[in-house]
Amino acid sequence: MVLKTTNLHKQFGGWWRKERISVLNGVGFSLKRGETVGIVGESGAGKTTLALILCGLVQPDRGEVWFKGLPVSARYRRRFQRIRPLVQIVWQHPETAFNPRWKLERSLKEPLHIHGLPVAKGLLAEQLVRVDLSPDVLDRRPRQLSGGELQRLALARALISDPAVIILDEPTSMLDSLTQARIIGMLRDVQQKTGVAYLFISHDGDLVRIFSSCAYELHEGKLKYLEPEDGHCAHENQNP
Amino acid sequence: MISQSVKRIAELAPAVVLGCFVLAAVFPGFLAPVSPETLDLPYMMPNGRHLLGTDHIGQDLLSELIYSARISLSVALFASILATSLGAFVGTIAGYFGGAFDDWLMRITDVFLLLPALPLIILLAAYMDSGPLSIALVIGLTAWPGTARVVRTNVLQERGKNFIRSARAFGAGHFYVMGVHILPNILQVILAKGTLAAASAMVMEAGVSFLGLGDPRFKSWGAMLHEAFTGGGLLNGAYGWYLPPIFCISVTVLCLILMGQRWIEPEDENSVMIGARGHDSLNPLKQESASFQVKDLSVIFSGSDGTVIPAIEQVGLTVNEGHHLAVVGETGSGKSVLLLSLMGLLPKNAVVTGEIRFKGQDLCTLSEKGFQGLRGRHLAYVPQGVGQALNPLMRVGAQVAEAVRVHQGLSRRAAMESAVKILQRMGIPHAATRNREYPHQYSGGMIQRVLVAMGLVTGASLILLDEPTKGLDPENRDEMLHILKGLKRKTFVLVTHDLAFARGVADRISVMLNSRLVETASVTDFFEKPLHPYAEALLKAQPSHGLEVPGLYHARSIDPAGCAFQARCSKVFLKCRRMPPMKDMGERSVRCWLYGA
Repeated sequence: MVLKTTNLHKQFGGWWRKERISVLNGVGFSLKRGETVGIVGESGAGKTTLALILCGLVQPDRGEVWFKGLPVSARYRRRFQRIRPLVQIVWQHPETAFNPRWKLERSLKEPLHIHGLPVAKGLLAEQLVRVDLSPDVLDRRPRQLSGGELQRLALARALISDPAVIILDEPTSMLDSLTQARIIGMLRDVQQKTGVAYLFISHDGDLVRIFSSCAYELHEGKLKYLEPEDGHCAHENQNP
Repeated sequence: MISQSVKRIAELAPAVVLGCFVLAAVFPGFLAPVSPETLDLPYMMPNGRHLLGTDHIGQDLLSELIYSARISLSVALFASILATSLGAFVGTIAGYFGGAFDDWLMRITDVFLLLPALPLIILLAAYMDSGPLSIALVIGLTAWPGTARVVRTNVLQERGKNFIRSARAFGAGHFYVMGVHILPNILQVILAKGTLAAASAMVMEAGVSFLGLGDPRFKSWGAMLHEAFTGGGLLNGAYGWYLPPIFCISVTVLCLILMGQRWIEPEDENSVMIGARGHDSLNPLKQESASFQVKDLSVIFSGSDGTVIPAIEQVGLTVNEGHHLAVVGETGSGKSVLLLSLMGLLPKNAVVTGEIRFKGQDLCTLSEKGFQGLRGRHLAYVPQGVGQALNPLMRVGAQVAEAVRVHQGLSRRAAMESAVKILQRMGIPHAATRNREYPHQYSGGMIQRVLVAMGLVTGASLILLDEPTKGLDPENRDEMLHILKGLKRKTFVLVTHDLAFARGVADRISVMLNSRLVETASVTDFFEKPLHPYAEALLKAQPSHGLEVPGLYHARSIDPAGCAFQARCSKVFLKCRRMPPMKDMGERSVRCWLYGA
């Protein structure tokens, strides 16, 4: 089990507002190495909140995130800092995924820079081959590239720290069908080679069904089991 | 280009003038004819020895003016640095951390904003040490709230962007994110506020000194004015005493304001003209009653470094009255540019050639004024990007009502009533009460529907929609589909990457690939049997069709002289190295060598 959540709760609304909105209401699932779990939900269902909790940007009110058996939600700040490179995220809007003022080379190296890791020679080129881009994109700025290219670069940046889990928050909803298919194909290749696990969040039910090995629907703050019908991951992923 | 060099000079002038003032202030000894201690006869009129004359004790006024620049400029500089850094600090902290931090800091800011600065300074100067430093301090401490609020708003905008979240997800600390990502991106705003703060500090200092509250040992331009008035400069007609300081203050403030505005303005794109492109006859125009026709349209963007990027090449289209055309294609294929060129909203560095016939006019040759007559009344544009398209500070109902009022000339109340009705028709729940809400209280799908509503109330006959379903979930998408389907009498052109949506709404489909149209067909023909291999690939790549990717997906460089799909096409052959022409096949047309030439 690479990543597991148990009974996650999250409410929004400050102390001065009367009504508090419950976004997550006991979410639990688990993710194995090399596996893709899909989560479908309408907009506003709390998919992005879940993604933010999993990568430690939002603290859950109750419940816990477990990474390789250790509790790691944002309240364990020290521990989370260590595993951060191992849980990466690719966002829905590729056009804002990179600092518009920076050349992409700097953006791609940023994760290594933050952790003070050396940039191995040829590492960037290797990552770019993985996502099928030519090295001259490194010298450009984000607005000179298309959404599909930026999204592939975002994937390359997520992969650079050799993560165990990548959270994909609607990575293709802004892209056309052909680019979407290419990116999904790329994600599959990467998964086969590295054994990375994906949590694939989307509002496209068809896509989730094709791409993930098991799928849930996030509805009213709870996960509802969708796929597959025979339920091979049902027994271990049920809500407590 | 004379006009360009004039523009460049106009841009540089404020900085040059200010630079001269600063130099004079730093090295007064070089410019001032005599040192301020030297005394001559009092009340001398301007003459060869004293260019501006002398004051009541016989000091040379030109020297005094130059030496006074020091105090005036340094008070402005110090106060502006203080106000800007304090404001930027508070604004960044409040905007970045949000929550209770934000609440408290902003309430404190509001309190400071309410302090009347000038009376406060007068009061403090009267009771405390009134040296230039304390005046600058007081000005700085009262001027920061404006900066704080502006910075906070900008930080809030930046904070939500994904690259900030990504950096946090990599494990970057708060101060790294603020210093490396947020501040450089809002630096322009901070610099602009800083220069404007310097301008207002200058005026404030002049006012205080003019009232005689400054320390007489440190003379500023304002203090010179004070002396001119109290020392009888006016009565003696010593215009050399009071006009130059006024002039210097005005020019400095003007230059500062001009410079501040330069920071805010977006970077200028140089426009380079390119000659008309060669025409080859494509897509003969068939229907006479067409509501608009595009013929051989090309749009080229020229970069400031001389690069030329074609965005649209030789596009031909005909859309009849009441027909719905969907343009589909990959991101970056030029779909949105096509819509913008129909609206005349292309950026300045775009060069348009070809013809767009609409209402008996050629839109390619139409002036901005001509477009203004068309936009709204005959042409409506529904932008993409639900985030920024509505004014965040106006209630949604009021924004729709405004559109109604402008276009239908109704009274305020009637416009609001009709706005509510429109919102109801667009499927906004509880429209009668929710029209008083602000855009951020609406979901993405609702905002998109409001945008369509605003496009519709104008009564325009041709509506251009840019990605009306981008980022919407299936439920909202179906709602949008339902709404657009109900508008049978309007003519639409919609750009989308959602094939299922295009199928539901449109009656004709055009496929765009790398800035050219490669296929145009009716919806039934297209979805039954797409002709161009690229169109086929687009259909097969849909999740409902098994997410199939044709051939290799290796990105090879696209040969501009040949078919843009050849690298990915399974049916490629030798001829594909040349660009195929658009072949007319009765009801449909296709740009592929497979169908002869």
